[in-house]
Amino acid sequence: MAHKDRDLSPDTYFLITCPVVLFIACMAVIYPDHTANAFTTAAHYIYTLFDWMVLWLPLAILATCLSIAFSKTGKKRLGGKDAKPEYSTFSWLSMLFTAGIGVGIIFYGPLEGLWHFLYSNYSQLPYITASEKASMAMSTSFWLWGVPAWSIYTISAVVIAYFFYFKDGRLNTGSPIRIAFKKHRWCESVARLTMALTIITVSVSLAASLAMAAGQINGGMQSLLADPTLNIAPWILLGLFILYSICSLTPINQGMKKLSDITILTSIVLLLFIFITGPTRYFLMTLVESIGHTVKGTLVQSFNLFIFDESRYWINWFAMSYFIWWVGWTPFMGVFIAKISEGRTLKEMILSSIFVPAGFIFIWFSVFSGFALLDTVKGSGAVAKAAEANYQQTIYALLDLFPFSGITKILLAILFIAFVVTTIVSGCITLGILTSKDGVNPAKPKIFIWGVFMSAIALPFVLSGKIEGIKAVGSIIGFPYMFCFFMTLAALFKALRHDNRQEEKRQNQSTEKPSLEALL
Amino acid sequence: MTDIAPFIQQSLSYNIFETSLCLLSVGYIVYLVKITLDIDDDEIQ
Repeated sequence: MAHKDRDLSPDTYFLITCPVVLFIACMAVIYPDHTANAFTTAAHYIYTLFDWMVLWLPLAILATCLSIAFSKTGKKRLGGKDAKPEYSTFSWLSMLFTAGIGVGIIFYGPLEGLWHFLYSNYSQLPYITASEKASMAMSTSFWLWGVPAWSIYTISAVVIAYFFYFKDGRLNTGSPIRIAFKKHRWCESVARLTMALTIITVSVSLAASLAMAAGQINGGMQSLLADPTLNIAPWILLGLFILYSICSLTPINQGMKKLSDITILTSIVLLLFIFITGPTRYFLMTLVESIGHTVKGTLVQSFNLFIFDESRYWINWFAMSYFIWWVGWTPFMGVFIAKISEGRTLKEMILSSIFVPAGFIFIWFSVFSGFALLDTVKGSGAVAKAAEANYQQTIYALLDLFPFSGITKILLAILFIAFVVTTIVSGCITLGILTSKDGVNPAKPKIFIWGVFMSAIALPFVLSGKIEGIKAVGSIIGFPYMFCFFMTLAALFKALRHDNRQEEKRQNQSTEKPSLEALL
Repeated sequence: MTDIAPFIQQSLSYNIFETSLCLLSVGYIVYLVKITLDIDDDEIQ
């Protein structure tokens, strides 16, 4: 238990991280244009400089996850041999599934495939047909959002769970470093730095979701009122701020789980509506073909840096920004997955948390991106035109091609509000817990302060409306955290190696015993 | 004396900072591998 006592109090973490996030928030409010530009420029610089280090990372992590799942370690049960799962398999899978869905996939649903179709380096290849471009666009969407991406969250959950359930650590990102490297002088400082960066990363990454949702709701209002010049995004942000503040500070937050379930069900209803009223057979064909292309192409895509291509915009602003963004979300996702998986084996946790959400994302993209591509290649091209004119209009332009668009567009705008409110409320409460005095009960003023910071950081990106800005704010803080993430992975490898050696020693001793007894 | 290739000249003139960052990152990863492989049985309980 000694390692537990050396950690700083959550209150101290608040005092350390608060000024940093406050500084970013103040700059964002006072100089919105400069802040948006600074974030975008810094992100572009990082993407360009470190693509050699990041691009293959998700694939390597996927290989690591699978090797742990199918090794002896995979049979270990979180919480001990006799631990019983806290949630039924259905609830647990639906929670993993819930975690995989947010504002992001609704926002990017129809856009992702279109963007790769129009801008990917693969689509610029000479002699490539529209059909090949569409297949490549779908498999790229699956690669960036699917199995390799979910492996990043899962490995973080494995690290946190392994040290929490088997090494008597805490349910946070600093604990593995503190336990595995305790003989190193730098250990405590690095563990504390990791914790501080976790708090900053979570708060800034959530601001990106907020900016995304405000822009999308504004897009919905433009579409519903048929006024493309309407810009009330800052007011929508203010409305969202009031809404999530009320939800996180009042007992309403107890009902958030229910609201989250309703939101998921509504999004599934929307998915089924498009699936059934749209070209169902085409969606199924897209799903099957894209899975095949993804399996075939992931290895190539994970190592293709397009070194000699004239434009490296796509590799930087898609592959790189997403992967760093996913790393930035790992503290939030890792702790959540580790916490709900008590009583499950590591193998169950790894396989389910990679393949269940990724499977849903495959279906979602096959329907929304698949339809956007069908409309572009063989249809009116209305969705692509809307995406090029104003990307925030894309999903609404898609719904316009289906019956009852007046109802589905309102439903979608409500979905954006519900998704972002549930995400931000749980984020504010998590940050409140991480920085409250006892580290268990979140203090209300702190929940409110984190909420204010998130809206303030989101403001310049809502004002500028640039997609690069949203991606930059989502991934910029994830980059320094990535080095801490590497350290937590090293801690896991060290612990696994140590435990395997101990196991081998025990086995050798037990096999030697009978021969000694026989001699006696 | 042979002329230095233009792209190396360019790299020498302004890439010292970038090169240092890349080398530091490689060094960091190598160090992580080293401390991972450097097992002390008493270290992890």
